Amino acid sequence: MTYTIESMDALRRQGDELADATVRELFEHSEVGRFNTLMRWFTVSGQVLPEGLPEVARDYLEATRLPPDWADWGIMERAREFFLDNNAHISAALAFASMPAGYAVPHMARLLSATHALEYPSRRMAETGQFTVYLMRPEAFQAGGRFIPAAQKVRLLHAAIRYHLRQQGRWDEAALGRPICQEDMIASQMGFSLFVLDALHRLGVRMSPEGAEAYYYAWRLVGVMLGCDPAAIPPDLSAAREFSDLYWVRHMGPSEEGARLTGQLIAMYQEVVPGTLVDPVVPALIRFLVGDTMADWLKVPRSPWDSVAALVPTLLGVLERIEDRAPYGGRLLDLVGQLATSVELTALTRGRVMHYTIPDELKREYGVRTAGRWVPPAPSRAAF
Amino acid sequence: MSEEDKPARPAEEILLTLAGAADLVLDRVEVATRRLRATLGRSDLTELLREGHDDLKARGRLTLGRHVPESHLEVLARRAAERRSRDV
Repeated sequence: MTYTIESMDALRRQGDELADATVRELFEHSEVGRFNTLMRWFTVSGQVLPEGLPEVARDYLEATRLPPDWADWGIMERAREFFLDNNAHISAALAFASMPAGYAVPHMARLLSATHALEYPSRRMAETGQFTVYLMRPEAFQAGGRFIPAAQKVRLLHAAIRYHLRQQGRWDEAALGRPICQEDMIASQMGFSLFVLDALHRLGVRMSPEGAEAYYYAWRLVGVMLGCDPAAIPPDLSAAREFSDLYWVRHMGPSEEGARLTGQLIAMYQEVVPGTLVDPVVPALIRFLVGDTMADWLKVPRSPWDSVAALVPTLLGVLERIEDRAPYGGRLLDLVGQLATSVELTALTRGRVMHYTIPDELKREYGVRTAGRWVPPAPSRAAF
Repeated sequence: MSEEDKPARPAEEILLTLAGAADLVLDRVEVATRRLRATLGRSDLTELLREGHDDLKARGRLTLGRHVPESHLEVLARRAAERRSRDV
């Protein structure tokens, strides 16, 4: 399919009908609290749905419980191998290229700010990180896998954000289209797939064409499960390039929200890595991966480390040589990669299981915690 | 049976091997020192050092340049910036 400005404009007016209708009904019948509590008991595929679940939620979970029929499990297995081989690089690319690329789209940055999730990007990073880990487990799409319930919940989470922004009149639909519209949802999938591959390429990581296509294929399947229109989502990497070039060239630019979010993302990663010695490495890596124009828009600080970051591909090249030549070298480096990723994820989730609940209002769920300290309640008058 | 052909005791064998290795190292060090002295004695030493340094830098540039393709996001951002300045 060929993408045009008109076809992209049409996607801006579309949300996700099934999830939107489900969420609307849950809110209208004040069933969100009960739904969220019961859904904590529903975490793996094939599990019996908890009793007392609202009818509309039951219908939604039933309709979305299976991956699309066209799923090719051979390609999915290749994608899993690709992910395991490049585990640490993919995590770095997601954090230092995909996330900032989203912040460089002003309306996306504004949406993230409006939901206040961006005041705490660690929550979104933790949720995305855990989601990716669930996706790449061997049993992800089988009975007992955690991925499908997570995807079902994330899809409702997006619908809830759409619902709240509309209810509160905080989104200029005439100018911006629907919040988290089809164009934005598909673009996010491009961020998680194509931009990760671009970043790996820039880092000098060697990839086979089959591996790269399989990685993209997995994210396309995920996109469809998260509510992207299967007819609109690019079928392969060259279509993905066409879509994302059109999208980013027409939408990207500087914004205050984007710069603030990037600042918070940098601070968060500086906290994840103990000590302050390598703190400047985080902005240097972002600048290296996204380039100077976008880095300046996002106010990524400059430092002498910027030139050191250019050495990273050389360093990775040396590691790859070790991987190829030294006995056990490959296995050892894979283990180090897995360890680094799991330490990063543990630091972000702080050991929690992310539940992807439907926010019953935007600010409380995602907002900044109340400042100050707790004070005990005043003595009760009745007793004195 | 000559002295060398007699089987040596283990301690003696280790000692002989070590002494042989030490002699070899010393021999190499002597050759290297002689070469270094000859180099240091050259009148064009400064020039030689500068050339060596330039050579290293060129190698470094080649190594870095060989591995780093352009960031696609940078290409997109420049296009978007052009578009914006045209539209304003």
